Formats: sequence, C-alpha cells, structure tokens
Amino acid sequence: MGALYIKEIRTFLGSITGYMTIIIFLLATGLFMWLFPGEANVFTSGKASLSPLFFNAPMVFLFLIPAITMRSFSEEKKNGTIELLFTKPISDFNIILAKFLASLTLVVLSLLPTLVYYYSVNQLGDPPGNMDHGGTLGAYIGLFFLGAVFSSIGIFASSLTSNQVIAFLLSFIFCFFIYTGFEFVGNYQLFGALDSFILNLGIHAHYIYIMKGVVDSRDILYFLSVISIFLLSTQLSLQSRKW
Amino acid sequence: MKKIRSYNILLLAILTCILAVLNYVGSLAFFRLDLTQEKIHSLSPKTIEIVEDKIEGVINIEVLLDGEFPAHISELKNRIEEKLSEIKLFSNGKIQYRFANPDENKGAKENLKQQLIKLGANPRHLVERKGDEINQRIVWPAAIVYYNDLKMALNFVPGQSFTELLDHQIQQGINQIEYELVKRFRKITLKDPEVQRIAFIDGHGELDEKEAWNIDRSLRDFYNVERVAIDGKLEALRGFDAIVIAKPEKDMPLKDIFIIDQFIMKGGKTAWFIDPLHVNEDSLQIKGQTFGLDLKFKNIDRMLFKYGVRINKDLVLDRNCGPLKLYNFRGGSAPWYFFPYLANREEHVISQNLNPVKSKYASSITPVGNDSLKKTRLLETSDYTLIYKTPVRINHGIVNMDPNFSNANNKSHQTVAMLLEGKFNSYFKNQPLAGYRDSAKVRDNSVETKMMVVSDGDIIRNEILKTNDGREAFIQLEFEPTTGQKMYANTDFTLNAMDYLLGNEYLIPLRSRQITFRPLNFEKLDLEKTDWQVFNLILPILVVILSGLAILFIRKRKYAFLEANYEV
Repeated sequence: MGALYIKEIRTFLGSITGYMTIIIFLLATGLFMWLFPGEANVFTSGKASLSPLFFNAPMVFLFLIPAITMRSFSEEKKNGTIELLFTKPISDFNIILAKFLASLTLVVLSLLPTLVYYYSVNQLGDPPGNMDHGGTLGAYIGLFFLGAVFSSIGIFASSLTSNQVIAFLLSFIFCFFIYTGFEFVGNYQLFGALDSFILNLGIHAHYIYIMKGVVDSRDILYFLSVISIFLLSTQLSLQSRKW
Repeated sequence: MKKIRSYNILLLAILTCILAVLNYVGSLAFFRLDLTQEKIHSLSPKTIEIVEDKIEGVINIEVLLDGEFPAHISELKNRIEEKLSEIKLFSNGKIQYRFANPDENKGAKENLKQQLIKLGANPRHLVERKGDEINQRIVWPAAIVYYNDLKMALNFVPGQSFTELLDHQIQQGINQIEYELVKRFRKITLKDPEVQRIAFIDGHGELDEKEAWNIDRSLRDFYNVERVAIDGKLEALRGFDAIVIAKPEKDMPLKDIFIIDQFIMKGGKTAWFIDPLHVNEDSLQIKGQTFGLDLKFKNIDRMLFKYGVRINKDLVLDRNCGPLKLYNFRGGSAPWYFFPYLANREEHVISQNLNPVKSKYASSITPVGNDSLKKTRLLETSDYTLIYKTPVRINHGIVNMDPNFSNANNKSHQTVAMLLEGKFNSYFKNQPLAGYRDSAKVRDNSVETKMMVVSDGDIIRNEILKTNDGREAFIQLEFEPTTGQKMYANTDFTLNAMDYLLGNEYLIPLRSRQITFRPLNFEKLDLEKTDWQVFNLILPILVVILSGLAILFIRKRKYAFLEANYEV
C-alpha cells in the first residue's frame, strides 16, 4: 500500500496538473480574500481572523477536489491498468485507501501555503498577534476533515465511470449536495421536527461549529462515518466488476 | 455471482447501520475540545464558582421552548439544554430545569400567557415560509426562573416583545446563553436590601429617561436604578451606592454640588459623563455647519479639578472614527472624525477585551494635581488624533479633506475616560459655606472610594427613532445607526465600570468573554494595503512553483546520477 501511495503522490507532483490545481486553489482563495471586495474580503471584514479563508475554501474545494480525484480510478479503468492493479498482492481496500490518502495529501499540500495568509492577518492585527490562534487551528482541522470527506466522495465517483469528465461532474454534484443540499432542504421547513435531523446529515452543520474552534467528538465522528461509507461504497463499486 | 453482490450490498447496509448507531451513541456521550483563546464555548470558571458558592436554595428553570421548531430555534434550544445540563452537573442539585410549552394547556392558555408577559418574558413572532405559504406563530425564546417564592423571566434572545424573531438575534442569543443565565441567577438570589442602588441625577438638563433608556435597562439587570432630582435636599442621595451624572446641559447650583461632594466623601461611587461643549446636531444636519460652544460649567469644572481631573474645552478628532449620514456623499455616509472609536491602552479589567466604544464630540481629559490618587486611563483615542479648541467650527466639508493627522499637530492617545481611586479632597475643604457648615457634619476628606470621569455623555445616550405610526424606538448602543451593525461596546463598558465601582468585578469577565472582536490595524492598512495584497497573492503561488522546480531538479540529479553510474 505504501508503494502505491508514493506512486500516486509522484504522479501528482511529477506532472504540471498537480501544481496547477494547487495554484488555482491559491489564486481563487487569495483573490477573494485579498483583492475582490465583498464579505469574504479580509479588509472588509475588519477582523484579524482567517474566517474569510474558511468560508471560501469549501466552495473552492467543491471544484478542486473533484478535479484531483477524478482520474484516480477513471483513468485506470479507461487504460485498462485497473486489472493490472488488482493483480498486485494488495487488497482492494488498500488500493482505495492509498488513492484516498494520496488525494488528501494533495489537499493538505494546497492548504500549507495559506499559512502565509495566517502570517499576514497576524501581523495586521491591532496589536500584531491579536488573533485567536487556537480557534484558527480548530478551523484548519475542520477544513482538513471537509477535504477528507470531499476526497472520499471524489474517489467513489471516480470508481463509477471510466470517463474523467463524468467522474468530475458526479463528484461535484455529490459534494455539493452533501455540503449545502441538506442545509437547503432543512432550511426549507418542509418536515417540521425532521428538519434539524436533515440539517445534521449535511457537512455544513458540522463544519460551522468546528470552524468556530470547537472540536466536538460528535462532529469528528460524523466526518469519519461519512468517509467510511464512501470508501466502502467505492469498494462495492469496484467489486461489481466481478458481478 | 449474484451471491457476492447481495453479500456486498448487505455488508454496506450493515456497516451504515452500525455507523448510524455509533453516531447516535456518540451524541449521548460526547466530549468537546475548546481551542478558542477565551474558551468561549466552555463554562467559565466564574459561572462554576457562582453556581457552587453563591446559590443557597434550589433554582428551578422552566424553559418555554418545548415543542417542534424550525432548525434555527432547535439549535438555540439544544444549546440551552447543553448549557443547562453542564451547569446542573456543577450545582450539586441546586439547579433543576425542564422544558415546557406555553401553548399546551389549552384551558388556562390566555391567562398563563398574560402571566408570562407580566413576568417579563418576551413572546416573539416567528415567520415560517413553507414554499409559497407564509405562516406566523408565536414562540417564547425565554425561561421562567423560580427561587423560593420568587419568579423571574429571562429572555435568551435580544429584541422586543411581539417583534419578528430574526436569525442574527438567535445567533446572538446562542452566544450569550451562559451570561443570561448567570445574570438571572444573581438577580434572583440577591435579597432585596443587598441590591445596590444607583441614582441617575436629574434637574440640570441631564439625559432624560428615553435618552438613557438603553443603559438604564441594562443596569436594572444588576442594580436598582432610580432617577433623583437633588433640588438642594440634603437627604436626596441617602441610601444610594452610586450616582450617574449623565450629560448635564446646565451647571449645578452650589447646593447640589455640596450634596454630591458629601456623598462622595462618605464613600459613594460616581460616574461622570460630562460634555463641556454643546454641539447642535440638528443645525449641523440642516446647514452643514455648526459650532461646539462652551456650556460654561463653573462649579462642575472646579469640583472635578479638585478631585484630580480637568475636562478640556475642546473636541478630539480621530482618524479611527464612526460614520455620519451625509446624503450627498458617495455611499450616503462618511467617516466623521468627531466620532472617535475609543479603546484601552492601559490594561484594566473594565475596558479590556471590548469592542471599540463609540463617542460623539468627545473632549480630552487631563489629570491634574499631584496627589495620592490612583488614576487609570480607561479609554483613549488612536495614534492619529487632533484637538480642536473651542469655539470649534464643525463643517461637513471636513470629510472631503485630510485634516493632516500625521503631521506635527498629531496629539495621539487622548484620554476620554479616566478612573480615579483613593481618598479625595472635598470641594469645600478650606472653604466657608454659609448655611451648610452648621447644618450637617461636613467631611473634608473622603474615605477610600472610586469614581469614573468620562468626557462624553453620548457614550450612554441611545438614539431615538420615530416610526411612521408615531411610536418611538430606541436604538441599542451596540449598534451603528447608519448601518445597523452590532459593533460597539458602549453598554458593556458602562456596565463593567459600574460593576467595578460597586465592587462586583467578578461579573466583568463573564460579560467580556462574549466578545471576541479582534480588529485589524486600520492605520497600518491605509498605508500598506497594496503591499499586503501583492504579498499574499504572489508569495503562496511562488512557494508552489519553487518547490515544484526544486522537486524537478532533485529528480533530474537523481536520474543523472543513476545514468552516470549505471549507464542505463
């Protein structure tokens, strides 16, 4: 599994696409945070806080992570290398895990340069350093789990088809729905007391709390559960080749 | 083949069920790691102390939020339940709570509701949108607190009775559950003679009940507040613990000065909110120009001078300031240098961790007299401050020019609020005062006491809005009237100060922990904005490109090494 993981990372970092996705992520979040006026602008918010980043990043992740994960199984399916992969002496689940962790690594790599924003906001505080460092750490943890859920969804979508574009679209739709869809349905007030339950099925309800700097065992459990379900579904989808 | 398939699907279904159960169990036994600096999401040690030590009997809380609600209110309800169960854990059975639904008892319904309203619970309109249908119903985001034979209401959400319950109010309510609870616990457990009394002095053109409505209401949660016209009556201030002198327009007669002076000498606490200049805001709005005119206080000035401060007859201008509505200005409002944002530079429990305090036409304060008093500057202007001496011309035109904050005239960090602690000299020390010297035991020196002097009365004056149907609405001091944003700490600052003066410092951390406003340094931004934009847009991307190139380079070297050694 280790070898496969390293091979996956190499493919990302050996090609221009890997860097391009990271750069696009930084460009998108950076422009909204520092240049474009609006709610997500640090200067407009007037606060020494990275919350504009944590508001923007999920939206950018919606496009970025499907783009990272779309090739993971689709490409192998298309090139037929997937059969080769399955002949290797590692279990299906380890293959999935390796690909998932590789995608997640790329997500983390794209988050690392945002520490520059952290430095800047910290310096711009009045007085410098007047910033909630613990809260920021909590929000980064939230963003990490959000990225992990999106990655697992992307991997699953990619296992469904041999067409990368379709994989991208599917995972975008899935991510979008699980991020804001439940929120939308829940807020529409259709089901009375069930609304609150529906809201809690979505990522948003959990993400906003962790974004405030509270790491709650219930939220972490939720994220881990969603990730497990999608990775297991991926396994099911891959094993369907034998059916 | 079919077998494998159904086996796999079954496996996934079972695992999903297991995870669902796990999540449910996890929701019952959970833990929370509060990473925020102020631990705003955990119970404060102060709350625990109050619940453990200060409460003697049993407090019963009936939260009126039982029933089915849309998600936002469910959220509020859940958070209230969480907080209460946490508090209950520490209370040794002294705190009990339950959830009730005021709509349940159909029979006694109306009667019950009237009672709740009488106790002070605010029913609110909840507007529900189901598709195209719009429903309105009444909700009670409130609780009734029972202690011995006392009953008191507690509102979790800010806002007035029978107004629409807005999302941001619910959000604010969620953030303040603990504070509201502790506030109520304190009030209901205090026996009546223990409640300290505050007098708002009346009779010299001070803020009237409407103008001081907001601060009056906020103080009533902790103290008994009354309005007192001294009128030369020697006994007028007897029994009061503190007085507030809120923006008098006329000088005080010597008799009243005498009574206040002796009140202070006996250890009474005083909060002065004095504007030495009068600014006619109406005429500024109509003509675009007005003057800050000296109110010609003599007795008040001399008295404060004797106590150790001088309020200068000037106005401070600050680059860091609030907006003024100006219709012909782009955006409808402009930064108005006469409305400085004040903050603390000296550390003091009263003013730390607060949002900025908004002032209007404030003057500067200078400490005078070299005595044993401890003087603390509570609120100051920013690094960029100018002083305009009386008579000050105030003209709308100032928004279009730069009044040169950064040149030699800059008088940064002007004090607008000062705390004085120690033993004060009487105004009448070494001064004969016919008629009074004999009538009372006059003290020349005070016992240990405290006072606060603020050189702007508008800090506690709420604006009054006339609605179309002739009613009046009071704008809370926290809100900026031009934008409706909640951004100021005027109320919290004043409450903190009164708590401190009256020896109830323990309430202050509970209040200020609700506030986590960490502003950017706007002066720095004005000068360096572009630099920071370029820095943040370029550097991260540069880092990625450079590390990409580095990886490429290392690989090349590696392959070159392999080639050279193994001749691949």
